[in-house]
Amino acid sequence: MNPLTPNTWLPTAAELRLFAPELILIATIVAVLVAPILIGRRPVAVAFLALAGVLAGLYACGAVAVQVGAGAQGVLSPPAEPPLPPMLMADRFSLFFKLFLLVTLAAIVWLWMIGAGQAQRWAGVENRARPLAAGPEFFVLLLTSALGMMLMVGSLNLLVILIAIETASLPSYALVATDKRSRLGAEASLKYVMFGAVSTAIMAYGISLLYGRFGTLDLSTIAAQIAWMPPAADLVFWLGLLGLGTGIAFKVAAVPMHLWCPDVFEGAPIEVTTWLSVASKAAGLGLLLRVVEAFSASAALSDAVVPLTWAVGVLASVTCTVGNLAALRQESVKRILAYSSIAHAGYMLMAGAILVAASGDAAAHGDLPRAGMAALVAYLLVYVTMNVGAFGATALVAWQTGSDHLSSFTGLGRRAPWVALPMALCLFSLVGLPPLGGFAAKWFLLVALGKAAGVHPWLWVLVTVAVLNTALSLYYYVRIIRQMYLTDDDALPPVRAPGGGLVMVNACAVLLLLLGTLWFSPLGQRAGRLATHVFYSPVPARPQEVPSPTGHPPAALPAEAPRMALSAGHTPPYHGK
Amino acid sequence: MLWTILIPLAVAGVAPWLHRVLRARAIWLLALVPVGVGTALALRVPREPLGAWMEAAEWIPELGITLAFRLDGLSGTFALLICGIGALVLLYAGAYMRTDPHLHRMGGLLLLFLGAMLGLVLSDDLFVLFVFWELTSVASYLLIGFKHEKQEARDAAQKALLVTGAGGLALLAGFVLLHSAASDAGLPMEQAARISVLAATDLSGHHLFTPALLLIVLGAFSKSAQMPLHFWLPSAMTAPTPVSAYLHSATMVKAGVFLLARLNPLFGDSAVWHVLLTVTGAVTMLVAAALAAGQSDLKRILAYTTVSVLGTLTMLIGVGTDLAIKAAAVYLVAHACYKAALFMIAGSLEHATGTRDIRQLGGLFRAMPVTAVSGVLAAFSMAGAPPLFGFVGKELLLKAKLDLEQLGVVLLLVATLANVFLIALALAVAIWPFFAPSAGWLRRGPRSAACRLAHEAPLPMLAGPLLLAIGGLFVGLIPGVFDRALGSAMASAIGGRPIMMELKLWHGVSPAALTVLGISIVTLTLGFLLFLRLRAWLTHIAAVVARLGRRGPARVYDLALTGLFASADRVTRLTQTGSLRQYVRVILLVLIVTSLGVVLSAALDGRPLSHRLVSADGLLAAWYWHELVLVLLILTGATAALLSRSHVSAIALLGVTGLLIAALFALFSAPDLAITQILVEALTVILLVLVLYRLPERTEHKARFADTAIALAAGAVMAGIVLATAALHLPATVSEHLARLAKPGAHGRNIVNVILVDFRALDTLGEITVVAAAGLGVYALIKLYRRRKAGEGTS
Repeated sequence: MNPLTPNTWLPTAAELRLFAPELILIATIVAVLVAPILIGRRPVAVAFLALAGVLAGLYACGAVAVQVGAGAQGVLSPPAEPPLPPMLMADRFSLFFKLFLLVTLAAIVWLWMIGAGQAQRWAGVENRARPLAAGPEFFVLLLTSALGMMLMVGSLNLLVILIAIETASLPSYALVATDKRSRLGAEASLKYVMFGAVSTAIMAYGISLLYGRFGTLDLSTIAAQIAWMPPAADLVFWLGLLGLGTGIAFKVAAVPMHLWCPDVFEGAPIEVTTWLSVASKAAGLGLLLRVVEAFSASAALSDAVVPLTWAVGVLASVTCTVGNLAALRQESVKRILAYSSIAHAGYMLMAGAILVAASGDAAAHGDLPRAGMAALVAYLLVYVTMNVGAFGATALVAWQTGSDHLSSFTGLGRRAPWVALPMALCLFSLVGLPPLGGFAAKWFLLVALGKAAGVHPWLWVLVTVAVLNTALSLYYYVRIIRQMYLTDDDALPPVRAPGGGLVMVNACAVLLLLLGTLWFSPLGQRAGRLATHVFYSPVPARPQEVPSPTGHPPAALPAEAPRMALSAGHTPPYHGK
Repeated sequence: MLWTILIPLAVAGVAPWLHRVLRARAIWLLALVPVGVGTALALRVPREPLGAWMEAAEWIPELGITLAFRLDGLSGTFALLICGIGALVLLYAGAYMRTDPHLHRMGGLLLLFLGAMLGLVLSDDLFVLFVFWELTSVASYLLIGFKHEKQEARDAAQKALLVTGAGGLALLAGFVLLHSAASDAGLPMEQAARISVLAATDLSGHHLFTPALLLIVLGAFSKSAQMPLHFWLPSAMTAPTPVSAYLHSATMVKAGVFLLARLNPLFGDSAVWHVLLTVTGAVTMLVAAALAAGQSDLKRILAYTTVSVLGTLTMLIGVGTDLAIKAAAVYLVAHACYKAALFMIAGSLEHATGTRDIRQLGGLFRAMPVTAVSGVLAAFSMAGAPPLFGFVGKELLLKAKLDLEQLGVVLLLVATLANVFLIALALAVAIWPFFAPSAGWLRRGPRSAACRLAHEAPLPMLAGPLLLAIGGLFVGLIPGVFDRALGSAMASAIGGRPIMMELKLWHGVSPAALTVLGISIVTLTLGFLLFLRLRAWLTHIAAVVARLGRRGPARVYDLALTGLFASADRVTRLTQTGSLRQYVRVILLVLIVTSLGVVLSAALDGRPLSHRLVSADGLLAAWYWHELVLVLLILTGATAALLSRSHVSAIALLGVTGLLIAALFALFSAPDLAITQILVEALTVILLVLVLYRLPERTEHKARFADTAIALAAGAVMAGIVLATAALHLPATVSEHLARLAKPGAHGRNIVNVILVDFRALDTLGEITVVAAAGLGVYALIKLYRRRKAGEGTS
């Protein structure tokens, strides 16, 4: 079929319905943008609107998940023979991440609303008054970056990936500087923009190399192509992959692309910090897994599995260690948590290393990819709970005392027992102490690593690094706990936290307790089941899974064949002149 | 059995409220919890050797983790110690800390610890045990740091947590290895972590067996303060005395010994186990006893003697003969009783006089007769004097040593020497505070005023020491009570084989018994002699100990901590300079290094690299002089930009380079690209100049050469990449297809135009809309700005 023949393809309603979460989010963005014109600048009302949109998106996401679970084809691409590589997918994998992102988003909106209440309370007080007026713009930016992240995990098309990363990043740059009077915020935003721009440039260059090398933007097609030509010596392929990896590393904040992270996390308002520390990393990891998974089936890569696993493993170890070491000496709790989130990205990258290690030869590894994936899914779920709880508690303290310095936490056990206790639980969970969710997460990760080490013995190095780092991290988390419980100054007044905030942080703590005890087992099972679906369900319409028997390189495909993933979705009707 | 663990934990949670309602009486109610739990457990402790009451519930089946509990001789004895001493300590703490404003926390924390400790000893699953193990560490952390106003207390708490916490991680790693070894040996998942099952399995052939053993032993040593990990325990003495009595002598520090005893049936046949435990135990026993003699703080003396006893127990488990195991069992129980009593007495003395310095205390018998009696009884038990329980233990200990063939003599000597110290110290602890003629014997003056004002401790503080001391006497006189009730079952559980215990105070007349008795008497005499000289020697020994301390493991810990901080600082300073220039430099370096890595690995691939680059001949074959001139001009422009001293001239020179590149484009028949390049270049220069106009003038900075090098390297890498790409035989592209369609389909000859306005008309429309929207936005901003300016102008 010639893509330039008159062919007005539009997705049907049934196809579009599978992308309802994104569409609802877009509608919410428009509504939030327009609302101030209709109802005036009422930030809290706008916040409720945004929350309603996010909840609707969540509901839609759940509904789509049910549909996809029942076997619906979650692909957005024009009908063609052979089928075109999809531009966007709504499979179980992306739906998990979308649900995850939307839940996080709802928590962030909630946190903002609590902060808004504080802002009204402290209006006019130096250091404590927070900018409320920027509300509508804040939500437009927040929701847009969420949209970008949701797209990031739903595609294997390099161009869509690039656009999605940019959609996620550009609003984030502005989000960091929401508080326009904050010098720290402005500086952080500038650094973030510069860093992001350079990383994106490298990634775009890498993508262009890949496109130039393979003539397609679809990663699964590229993976199918290299099945015929062993890529070990293919310079351009590796350089392109390197560029793509740089972009992903920037999103995950893996060393050495993490440099922006502490400055940005410290300078940004705490809601934004929480959002970036959880969602941005999760989306980056999702993308990484997608890429790894796309290539994992390719037996041609099996020569490269060992160096690649080394690369990811070293990256993970260094990320972990640098994050933990740098956190040791920080005095700002927000900054401690920022570095800790770098360290946790390292732990999660270790799960990525398992997946890389297990790619290539499927038969030899059996259950391994599933275990690695399950470990990562479980880790992410626990991670979001711990971080929302810890950042939330920090926000409650910072809003009251006007600072997130360690000294603001002095005697918190007495001054605000219901903030201090959940904070302590979240911190212990971040260490990975039982019986909390963090222990469960580390446990699944270490067990999976141990299993992988059975096949690749040098992975024991990663196990050792993870354990040593856990010991290291104990120090700085305990430092906060020590400040809360083992120091006190009777002159300090009680910290009165708003009810909504208390509900939030305590809910996180209770969840962590449950995840570490009663839900330990269900967590593992659910994560395992999800991983099974992701890896063993045939993703619908993955083209060219079977190499043609003649061993033709794809360059021999007819030019009319849909090589132009670039324009596949938007081919305009051809008309004479 | 789960309930016996959950009840204390639950009550711990509500303890602060109980305290708020009942005030000081709450502690009595709290003390009822261990009494009840202990009674319930005592009724179910199996008497016969190797009998056990098991209970299991599923927890995480796919990882093989079961909530499994086992009550047998070993765990039963521990549970009874924990509950019994726990109740006494709770009562004691209530009186000891009557005036402390944080008393309400103490009760809850002690119960929390009690629950965790019960869970630790009762669990039959490796991982459940680990959970409780860590929980005791956390409880210990909070209890050591209880007097948090003191920096010293906080540091000590942290030290204990770091050492035992790190040990806990080693333990977990060991457990995981053991679990996988057991799975390999064919045990089903849910059985592979059950301690009782593992004990009956032979895993010694597995390659993970020894690593697991080493890691587990390391974890146990850290908890039980074996050399060289002992240093946290003396520092932990900053905790309130009830805590020291409970956690750091009677129960928690014995958790390591408990674990060793528990796993003895599994590891007992391994030579590594024997050597490691015996040697470490013996060294700890002797060194700690000697170190104890250099202390003057009552609690620190007791702490070091505790370390010494823990070493003895470790050594006995390592020796592993029937007699040694029996000795370990008896000695463990005896020690728990007398040491808890002694700690409580130390607390009472401090409570009454305000000091724990053994050089200041004296002549208190008259004021505190009951305390004195219990103190003497407990100390004599510690010294191993007949007819106390400690004597029974020591007899067994000596007998076990004699029983050995090769090592026996060495160990016997070590044990005797350590015992001499312990006896002298026991006497010092019991005699000086009560009977020394005058306090302040360092001639600092007559008895301190505090000693004269001393008074007998209140009843709850007397109950603990007195009951424990009298218990020691009672069991010493009728040792059969112990061996029938618990001893045999305990020893059998440790040994993993039926070991019948028959304790006697008097062993009759036989060569072996007489030898043991003889050694006992010699040790007692020597100890007594040392005690007589101890006063004179104390200062010297203290000086030696202090000198040793400067090189001891505590110093290593301090150094490690400072080193860690220093490296943390260095890493932070290195990576997080906060300078954007540095960040960009890092990105470029990463790009260079990784690209070079890829190129190198491709080069190592075998085929020469030149095949994959455009050949130089091809490049150089067809060039014209005007191209060369352009290239040279571009290079000159770039170099001049680098060398220029002001922002504006640098940017202008960069602009020149850009324009020359545009000329190059035009030469190679890409006029549209050239036009775009010129426009972009002009705009960039204008924008940059506008921005830089507001920035300070360019300053020299040191890293200029490094920057130049990085820039050159980045350029070289990019050039290499371009060469590599140019060498590619690209697959057929869309452009040919579009070129073919341009004329017939769109009647246009400029392909770019055709694409923009025909093939992708909708995209172009979208782009125009976006640009228009952005323009509107800019217009709105400008208008707003003007209006504000105007508003400012008028107001």
